[in-house]
Amino acid sequence: MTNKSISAIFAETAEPRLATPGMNRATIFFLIVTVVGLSCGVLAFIFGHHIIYNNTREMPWGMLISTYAFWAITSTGLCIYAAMSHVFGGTRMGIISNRMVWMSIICIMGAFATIGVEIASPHRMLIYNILSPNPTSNIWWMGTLYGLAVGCMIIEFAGIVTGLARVALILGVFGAIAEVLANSCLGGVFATLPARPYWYGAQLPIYFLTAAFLSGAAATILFNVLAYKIRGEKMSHAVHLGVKSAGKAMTLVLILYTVATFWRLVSFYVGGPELGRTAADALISGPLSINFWVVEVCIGLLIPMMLIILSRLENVGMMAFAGFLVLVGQFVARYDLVVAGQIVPQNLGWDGLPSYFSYVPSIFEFGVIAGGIGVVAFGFLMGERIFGKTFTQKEHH
Amino acid sequence: MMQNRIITIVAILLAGFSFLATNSIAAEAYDEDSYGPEAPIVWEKPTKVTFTHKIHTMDSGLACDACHDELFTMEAGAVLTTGKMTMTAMAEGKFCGSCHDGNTAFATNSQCSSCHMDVKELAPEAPIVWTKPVKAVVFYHKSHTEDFGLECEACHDGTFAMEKGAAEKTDNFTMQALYDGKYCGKCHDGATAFASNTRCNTCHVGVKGYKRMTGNDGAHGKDHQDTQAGH
Amino acid sequence: MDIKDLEKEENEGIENLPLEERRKFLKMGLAVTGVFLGGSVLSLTSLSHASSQINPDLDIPVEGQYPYPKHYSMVMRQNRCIDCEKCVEACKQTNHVPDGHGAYRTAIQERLTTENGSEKREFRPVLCNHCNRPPCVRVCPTKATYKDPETGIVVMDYKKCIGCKTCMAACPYNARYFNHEKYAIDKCNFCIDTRLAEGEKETACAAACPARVRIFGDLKDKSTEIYRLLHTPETKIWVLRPDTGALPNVFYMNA
Repeated sequence: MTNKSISAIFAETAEPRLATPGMNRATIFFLIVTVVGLSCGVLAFIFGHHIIYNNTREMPWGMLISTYAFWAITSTGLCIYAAMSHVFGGTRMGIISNRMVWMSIICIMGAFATIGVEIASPHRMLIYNILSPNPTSNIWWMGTLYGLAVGCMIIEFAGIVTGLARVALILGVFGAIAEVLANSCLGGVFATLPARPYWYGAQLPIYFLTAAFLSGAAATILFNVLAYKIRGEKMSHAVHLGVKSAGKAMTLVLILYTVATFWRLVSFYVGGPELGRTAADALISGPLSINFWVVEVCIGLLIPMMLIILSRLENVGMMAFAGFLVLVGQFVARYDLVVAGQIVPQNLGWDGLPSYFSYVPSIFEFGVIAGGIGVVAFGFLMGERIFGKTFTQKEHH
Repeated sequence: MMQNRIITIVAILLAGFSFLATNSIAAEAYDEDSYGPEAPIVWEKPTKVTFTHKIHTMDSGLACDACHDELFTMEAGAVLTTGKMTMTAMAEGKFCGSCHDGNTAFATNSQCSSCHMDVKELAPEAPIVWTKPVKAVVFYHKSHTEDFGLECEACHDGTFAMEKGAAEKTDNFTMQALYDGKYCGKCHDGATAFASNTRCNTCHVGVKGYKRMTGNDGAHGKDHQDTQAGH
Repeated sequence: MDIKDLEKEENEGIENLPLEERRKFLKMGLAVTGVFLGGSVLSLTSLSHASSQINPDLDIPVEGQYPYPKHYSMVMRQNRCIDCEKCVEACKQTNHVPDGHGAYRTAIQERLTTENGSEKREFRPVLCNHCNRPPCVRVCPTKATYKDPETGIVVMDYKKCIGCKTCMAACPYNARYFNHEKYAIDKCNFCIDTRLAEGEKETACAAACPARVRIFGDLKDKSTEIYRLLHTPETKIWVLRPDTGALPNVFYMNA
């Protein structure tokens, strides 16, 4: 135990150079976005979730759930890469792993903020998750494990900041394990519902983990490049090598994810329940087809792959843009996945139902999404400001 | 189906010829001054109706002043211009209803084809929709009169009063009554027409069918439709 | 699937039926005597009738080995339904189902098709199937929904419901809704609190049905009509979405 005072610690970690008027403006802007955005969610508690959000009996989950999944998946990815660097050393991403731990915490905060205003009675969750746990529930495990993960990561981060390398290492491993299991349970939430053939199946949890590796690598590149952008300085060679490693990882996972997406969709056309095929049709040629072909496939997979090749892993600006596009693609991919699972009426053929329900998120849902982005952006800027030196110094162990 | 139609047409033609034939024979002893115009009076509006003086005067022994001019002015088509000669008015004892009240002569809600030349066109176009005791049951006059060739009297013989909602007002307009041969059960007994305890949804259109018919199917209401429609 | 078409199907016999499929029904005390269309429609009979027809190597539970002291189920005699919706009304009144926002515990579904040029109408009553392997119960994080240990009815403990709506996503039957008055997920509970607790023998919907479409009762009691209906040999019985493996307790037949 070191006896350094809090202020002494912050003096060591803070990056006062970043306290520029421009940075201040950006930070305050994202704080306002966060407050205004999440206020949209608070309205749900005042006027009723059923009034504020466009979810229905038939489509109980919408964009808030998909966005929660997006941030949670990204958090898992960041956490895994950071832990691997910490545990195995060696990898070139070690130097940027502290920032990844911080951003993993921030991303899960974005996820919690989003789902916190989506759930009708979160206060009951706090009580009965503890008093009346259901061990067969994926949601229970997911919530508990993400809670555990964020706890571990916060202590890990405290260890990094205070120089308690061993604490940081051990909790980092626990945090990463909890994140992977939580991510797996998040996949399981969808994958274990036979009522929804588009979700049901053993592939989905692995698909979610693949998505985590993809989003995590993309976020690593993006946030590191941005960190140097706001400092207005060039990356050090070591950091550049770390970003390059993330770029390699992203390229590899882009291929895996593309293959997984391909087979996932093909599987619906070789047989199986009609509901699954009709849901897949929604992406291929139905109401989600523009989302799928333009955003998921072109913007989220093909263009980033081309950019990465063109950048030859040297042009970090181009790589960061590729990372940004990947995240956009992943965001929409989660939306499409959540929506497609419910968009086909379960009693199709009765009541003259159309093949697809129509779901358009409400303005308040978009507001909450903005709020979640605000949380992450604000957290990123504050992190650079308060812990900036920790993120740029050599590995802590 | 086609053969049936041909037989029907032939039958109608034969009936027409025989009617003309009898008329021409009877005309020999007919005196227009005592019995009124020989040719049948034909009103085109509101529906095609025929009135034969002969039947009322020569055959039934009514004098001219039984109807003229108190009930009908002695002027061709005059009564039509008033627009008052309706079945409702007759049911109230006006015009033909003065005698055709069910006592003196057959009631105006029976034997439609005695006066109406094309009874089939009289049957309501719109389906009859009953909502009691259950929502909702439909009956199409057209399919019964045209497709199955039934005359009005086939049902309006005491089985169903020729009055809107009359059956619903009773408390025995039930499936049990139908099984006992009442109402639709008169024919829908499994022999004449399909049995009342089969093919339920041929007549029972349900609440959904009712809403659709009344243009109130809630398809545009986001929240007030308790079915599975999304929004 | 069209029931009329199914009725024309030949009984394919039980030789090709997967073991698990038979076991599913054996667990409910029903033995499979016929399979139609690849096992999606089953003909069932009680085990005592069927014992001679089933492979003795199967581990057949003793008849009456139901998972709960009572085994409440419902039979829908589907072709008798005329969509008068007296059931829907009765349910709404009895169980204080709020208006709007997709709130209903039971509904009548309608299917219009054209057969030989004329319109054909079918009605199908639906409600919670009170499954023996209820997906909603498994996914609930706080055990806010559970199988009543006495009756096997899937019930709600509103105060524990966090409103995550996973049960709604998990239900193959669209049986759950967000009750905006209770601010919790709600569903059919076979009137366990509003009628059964008062000593009534039937649910509100079953009692209100003029066509006796809905037959409610305890499958464990051999004197009940539902037991007799489900154990009449040669009766074609089917359940909705058997592929989800939820083992529903609402059975459909034409009778």
